[in-house]
Amino acid sequence: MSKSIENFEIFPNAPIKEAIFEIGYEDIGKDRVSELEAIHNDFKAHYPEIKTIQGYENEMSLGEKGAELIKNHSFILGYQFWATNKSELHTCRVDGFSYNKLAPYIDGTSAIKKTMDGWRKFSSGIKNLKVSNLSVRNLNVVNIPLLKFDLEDYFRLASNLPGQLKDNTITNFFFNISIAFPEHKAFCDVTMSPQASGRGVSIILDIHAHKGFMAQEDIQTELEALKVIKDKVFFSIVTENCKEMFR
Amino acid sequence: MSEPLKTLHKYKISPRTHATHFEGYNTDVVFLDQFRAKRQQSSSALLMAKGQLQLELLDICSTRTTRGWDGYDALPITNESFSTAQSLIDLFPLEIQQPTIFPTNSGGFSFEWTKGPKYLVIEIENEEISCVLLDSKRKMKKSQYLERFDEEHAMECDDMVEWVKKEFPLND
Repeated sequence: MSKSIENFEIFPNAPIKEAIFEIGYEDIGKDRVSELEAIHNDFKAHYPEIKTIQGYENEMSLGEKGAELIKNHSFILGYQFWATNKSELHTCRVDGFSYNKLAPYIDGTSAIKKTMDGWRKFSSGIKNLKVSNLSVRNLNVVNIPLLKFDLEDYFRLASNLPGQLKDNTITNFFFNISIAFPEHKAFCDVTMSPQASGRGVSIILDIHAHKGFMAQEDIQTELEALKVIKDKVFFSIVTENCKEMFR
Repeated sequence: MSEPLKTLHKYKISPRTHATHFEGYNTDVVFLDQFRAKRQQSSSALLMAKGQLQLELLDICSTRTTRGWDGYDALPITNESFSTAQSLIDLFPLEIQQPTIFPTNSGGFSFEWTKGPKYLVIEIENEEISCVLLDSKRKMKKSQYLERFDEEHAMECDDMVEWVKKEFPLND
């Protein structure tokens, strides 16, 4: 049976595959990446596995001489610290820190608490961080057990064909919008795209609430506000049909 | 196109370009005479893993371009193998364990997953794909062979993807 916390229903078969609570800061530069690696010692007890995050830079020219790769190199941007349960991790990058919870996702309140616990540990070890942005993001995968269906039966925000093409079928789409929330000085980006799923169709519903951070603000309070925006957007987009599949 | 340099999510895209892989989602790339993309990996572990796989593929290709790269007679990775492998990665759902990718001496790739008694390997050689799933505990062996990676063989492809999804979920 589903229950409700903070006025939003919690589903037993929730579509969420990853929740990301991120504290972004001004880029500290690649030369400080060794500090990020060293801070793993403080996280080791609960997050023993460390993985490298690579960055890539490419430049290609298609001039008269034909295709030419001008620049192509990789570098280390940070690290992922994975918990033994393989369902949660911290990412520590040159421009941001995050707590990521993979499925099963329980609730945002405990996730924000873990984000803040991790952040306190991280920011006491990595000095002179200037927080610049905050975000709360959910990657949902909605599995629709049909090969042919109307998107609007499941999502209130969907691409529709005009009347002259009503007998045709959409076979693929990529949908991305940004919604402003001026009262919170925040934005919420919504991206929808189908992904392969073997049988039936899976729709990725990516909801990313984010805002710039001002020095007088409180990180935890702002993350909580972003979480509410993210939930509001999610519950406004999915239809009753969709919710039934999650219950 | 006179638009200024802009930041589109994690990509910094120069004028006269459109987004290529948009944080792990597949969109087509259209560019004119110059393309420049500085990629910063997504903070999403799931999207990053998929992007990383594509980049690993590129890395293997760019270092196995001549015959005998293994010190013996190995063939260079073929464009067909690369294209087939890319299409296959696109089919993998987000929530699976990452395979280990190896180049093969016949100019193709091998994708391998191992977890306890379970082992799954997908071998790619040009357009051909073969897959074997073994589970010593359940005494099970399944195999699949595709002559070509196309619409006609979509069902067999779906089977392979289902095996990976079922036997090697991310947080197993």
